Amino acid sequence: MATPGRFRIDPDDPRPLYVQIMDEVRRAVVGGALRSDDAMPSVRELAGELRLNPNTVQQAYRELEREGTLYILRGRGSFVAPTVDRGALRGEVLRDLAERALEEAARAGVSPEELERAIRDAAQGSGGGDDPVQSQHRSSGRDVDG
Amino acid sequence: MTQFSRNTEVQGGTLMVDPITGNERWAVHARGLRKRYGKVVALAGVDLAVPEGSVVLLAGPNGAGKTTLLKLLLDLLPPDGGEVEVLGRNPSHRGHEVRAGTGFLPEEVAFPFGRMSVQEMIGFHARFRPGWDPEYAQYLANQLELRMDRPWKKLSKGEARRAQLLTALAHRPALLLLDEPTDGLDPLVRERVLALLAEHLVETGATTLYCTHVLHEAQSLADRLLILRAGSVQVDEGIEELRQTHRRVRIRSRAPDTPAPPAPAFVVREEGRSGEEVRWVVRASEADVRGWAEEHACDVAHVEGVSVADTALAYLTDGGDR
Repeated sequence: MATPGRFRIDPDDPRPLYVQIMDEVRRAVVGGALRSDDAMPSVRELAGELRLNPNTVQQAYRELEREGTLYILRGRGSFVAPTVDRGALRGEVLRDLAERALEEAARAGVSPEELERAIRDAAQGSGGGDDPVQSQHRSSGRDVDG
Repeated sequence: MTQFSRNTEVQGGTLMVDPITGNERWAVHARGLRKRYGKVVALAGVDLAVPEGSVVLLAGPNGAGKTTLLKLLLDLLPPDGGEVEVLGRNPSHRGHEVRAGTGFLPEEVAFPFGRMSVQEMIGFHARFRPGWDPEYAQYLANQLELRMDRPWKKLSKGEARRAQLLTALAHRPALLLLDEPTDGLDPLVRERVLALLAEHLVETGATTLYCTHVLHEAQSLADRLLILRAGSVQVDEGIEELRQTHRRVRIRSRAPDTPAPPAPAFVVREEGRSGEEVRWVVRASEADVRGWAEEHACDVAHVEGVSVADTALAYLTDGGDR
């Protein structure tokens, strides 16, 4: 059972809110926090927890079912599909991470090579023990209001 | 978990379409709605179509007509002109039916119940509300930590607000009109009220007009933003559409000591300006902003998403109505 507080959405992030939920669920599956046949929070629980519009949560769950990450048992809720291709999902999560980092870098005038070097340096500096999928979160720059 | 639910899963989208005519169904439909108090124009011709099941964040400065609009919908005030239909009825003729199908949380906390206890006040409301669910009322009372034996006139503002909220929700009305629902509540109770509302909306699919100045706390609960300014509709748009079409950008003049150009038409609000650099909330794609910057010898230093609350604020700021 997913524990409350696991999923986070960011109102400043331009991705649609239902896409943000989908990405949070995919990350939890890839990172192992959600295992096969684990029950997802109900739409009611997740909407209450994140103060989300019901349709946003339902759309996320519907899309996750369509792509094969979740399966729905009528009257019982949504569960993590045992058939989910974790390798492919992991690739997707990583690609998404990389694309967003590259976009940010391009805006700051940083080349992909510089970014790569900076990531290696940062990973060494911080001991590099974190799972990159779990520890990344802040994506879009927030320095403007600082 | 679902013992109180009427329909656990809101049938997204399908509820909003009439099964016979195939037309979209409106919980609230207004055309040219006008109201004035003496010489003061409160509503200057409001057109409004709220789809069934949607949650509308209603924003606007004080005196913009938000509260007046809610009162006209319930026939608590007569309009001076225009047409309005609420839950398929004309409030002027069938006001009691409209009110029975609505959960109304008024802006002001009224204390007309004197020595009545909270329990008695709630019982009083229950008698006039078809569909009142005593079990759900009890659940809400527990969640809101209401003390039932307290005399109404001794309640704090926050306690009275919570009791009012219970009476607005416990009959699971088709329409919720909430005027500053978290006003006067402490931060923990605010959080709980917002969670309760989100759960309530999942279970009932109620159409909601959520009127507030505290936009950030309700922005993800809503699927539409309605901004009233000076009695007119300034913005009426879906939340995701707003999120996709608005960006916050930082623009910098390439030439040193040259101020950034004045704001073009796609700028909703200039948030700050210092020397060569300017920060805007824009209604434009990143590509459009970059194209404009290229033509004006500027660099786009930064582009990011902007929350619905900040977008609303941008439209509410003076000069934001260009």
